[in-house]
Amino acid sequence: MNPTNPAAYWRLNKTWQKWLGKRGTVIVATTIRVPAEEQSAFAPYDFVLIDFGKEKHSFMGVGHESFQPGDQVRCVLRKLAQPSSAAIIPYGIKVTKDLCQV
Amino acid sequence: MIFDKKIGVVSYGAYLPKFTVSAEEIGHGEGTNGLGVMQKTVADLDEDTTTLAVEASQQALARLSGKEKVGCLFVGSESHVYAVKPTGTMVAQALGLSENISVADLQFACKAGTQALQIGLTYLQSGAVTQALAIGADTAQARPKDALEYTAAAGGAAFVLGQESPQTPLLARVLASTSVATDTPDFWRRSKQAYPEHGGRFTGDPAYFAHVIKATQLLLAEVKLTPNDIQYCAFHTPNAKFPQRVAKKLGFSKKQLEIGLVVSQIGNTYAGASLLALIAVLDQAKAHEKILVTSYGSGAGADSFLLEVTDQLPKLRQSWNYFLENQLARCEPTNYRAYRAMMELKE
Amino acid sequence: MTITIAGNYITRFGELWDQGLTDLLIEASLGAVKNANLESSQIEAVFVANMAGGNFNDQRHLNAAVSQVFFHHPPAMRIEGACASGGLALLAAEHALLAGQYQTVLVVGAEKMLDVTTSVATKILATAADTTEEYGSTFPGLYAMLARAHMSEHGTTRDQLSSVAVKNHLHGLTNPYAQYKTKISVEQVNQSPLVSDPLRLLDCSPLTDGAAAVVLTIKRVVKKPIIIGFGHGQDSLTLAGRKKLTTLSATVNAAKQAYQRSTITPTQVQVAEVHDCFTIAEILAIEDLGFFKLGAGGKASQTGKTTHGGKIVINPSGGLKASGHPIGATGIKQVAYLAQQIEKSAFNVCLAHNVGGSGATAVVHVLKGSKS
Repeated sequence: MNPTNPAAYWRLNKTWQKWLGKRGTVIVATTIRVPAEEQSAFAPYDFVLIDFGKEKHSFMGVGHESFQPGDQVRCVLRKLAQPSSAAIIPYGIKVTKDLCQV
Repeated sequence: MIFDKKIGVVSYGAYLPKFTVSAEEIGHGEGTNGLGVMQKTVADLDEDTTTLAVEASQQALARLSGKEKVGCLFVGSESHVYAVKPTGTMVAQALGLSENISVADLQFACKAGTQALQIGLTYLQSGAVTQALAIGADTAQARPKDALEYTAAAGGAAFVLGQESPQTPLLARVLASTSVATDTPDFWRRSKQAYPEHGGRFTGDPAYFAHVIKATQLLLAEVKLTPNDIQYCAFHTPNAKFPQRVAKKLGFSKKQLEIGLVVSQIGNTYAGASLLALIAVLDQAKAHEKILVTSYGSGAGADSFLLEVTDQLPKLRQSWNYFLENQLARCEPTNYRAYRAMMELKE
Repeated sequence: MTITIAGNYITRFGELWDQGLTDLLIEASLGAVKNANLESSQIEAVFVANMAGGNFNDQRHLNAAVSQVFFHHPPAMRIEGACASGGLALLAAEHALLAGQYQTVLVVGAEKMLDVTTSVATKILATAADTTEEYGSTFPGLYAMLARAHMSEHGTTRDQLSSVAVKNHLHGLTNPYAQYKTKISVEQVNQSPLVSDPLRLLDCSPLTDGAAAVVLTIKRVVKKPIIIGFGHGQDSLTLAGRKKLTTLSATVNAAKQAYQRSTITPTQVQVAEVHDCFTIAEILAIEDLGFFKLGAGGKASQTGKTTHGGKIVINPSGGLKASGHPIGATGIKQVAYLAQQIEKSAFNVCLAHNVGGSGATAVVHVLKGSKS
């Protein structure tokens, strides 16, 4: 999936609502230090497998945040990659330990 | 304009990114010129105006119990991520709002957020919608070594506006609003420039002070009130000094201003600034207290509002636990290098 | 019906600047046919394994690229299953032979990965995962998570991971095709730069150019190795969909089928080429293939059980780590290399294990000498 492609971005944004605000527990995480080109501005970043109760899903961690098994996380909207100056900005779901509240 | 319908704030939310950089770091140890700003917030590598707007709106919607259709959404910012493609549609998508919605982005420097608020209120006053969302958010850019580097910060504020109803009671009624605007070039940015320019001392009396004072005086005249009748005031905060000076000139006291003066810890969040100052007040104000808010946008103009807190706000606040001061408390200081790395990725 | 490996060929693995993708495919194809002592015209069909020629080399339609080398243009198809492409191509060939469609076929795999930069290669390799549901992952990142799970559940240690790389480099010294013929130490592995925590550079198989091919036939051929069993397992593409992170059930299932078909048990396997795309992958493999108990793979690797003189020789070629991992070639190279060992009478009962992505696809082959 290339989230800077208009059609792919458009299919992806339909899924934001499913995850935004959802909370879960970290199962396992890694810190990616050798990224693909489009994530080079964000490296090192964590890639995290989360237990959301009804299902499990993996997401990138925000910024340079680092995660341990058992951490409580919240799904937020962030840039998935730093696009070129001409491309669509690829927003998508990442997770953070910054739980924020009501 | 007097709003004779019972309209106003039915919910609100704020979002501060979790990193701050101190005036010392910005000054590289060579003394600081923060004009009362001790530290400012900075948005993370993968945050921008869109994501800040979504975070603030999420808090506002999460606090709202009654479900109503949001009929219009206006987002004010100086750092909209696209020159052409509105921030508002991405926010609406993230929030799952109805497709039947009026959306536009606004730009008017630091008053774009309050202009969004005013437009939302007029949609309500006219009966065109029953619920409106107004957002002010920015990831303000400042040229390294320019004075603005001490104050240009990041943050978002969102207001859900509606009519008084049992499902969505007003937290604060907006009684009136008025605006001024003149062609005063105190601060501007051409489209292909990364950083804004400003007119130095010209940004003071002919710009900020003239417009804030004019708009406030027009509003007070319209509602026939004086500063003594009002418990709180909040003015746009390009730094900590200007709002203190303008409050004094207008006859407001330090006490009326102080709660809203979050700028010293947050910095100037541009289109979010006056709204965040208002939120700081709403987080604490008591029932029936009145709030006067006047924003300022370079280029130039000012929006002034008079609000009155209802008894619902203190009641509902009891079930909340994440106020602006809590967001500030969880901020982490960062160094200049990390701050610049984050700023490089912003529009 | 017995499937015989009538011919085999492995190119040099490494940085092969002088050869493009099709050059490698041609070298391996003609090499295997020659090794089989056959005429080109006797090749009735070609099965081509390649993961990402379209991205690495701007070349697809590889079935045609190989078929055209033979003047009679045999029917050909390309098969892709990420790093299991080679194993899958072998299966496709075996099915066609067993179905009576052909009697003698060529299976060739190649990948040319080094013309692009590391970050472009990282992006291409990441397409072996679910790029929607696992967007933002890298291939080392996914195996790093498997490593962490294994270390957490079984106490597998940093040094145990490193011992796998050390052992494979030692084995690579004896492999003339190997990309790396260098001895490394546990300290060197432990101090190599982090790629995706906890996996370090020397935990990871390299980017490699290379090709390998075998000629398979159901005709009677004496003194050549035979394939006595094969198996094919699948699992969720995503790690989120796996039941457990400490085992690759695709491998377990593929192995079960292969053991059943060949009527061989794990203890009878003398040597195995397993899919060590990362050190943790070898530890998982030797457990999932039944050579060691679950959780015991790290200790076994560290205490010499998986090298000559141990319980079973794992990756005598140097594995993916030292021999190199040109993706489409690997599954075929494993079988070709074991065939060579059988022909040299170095070993008899052998197993090849090829995995795609983070464990979604697995193919196992069991081979042995034809006189046993």
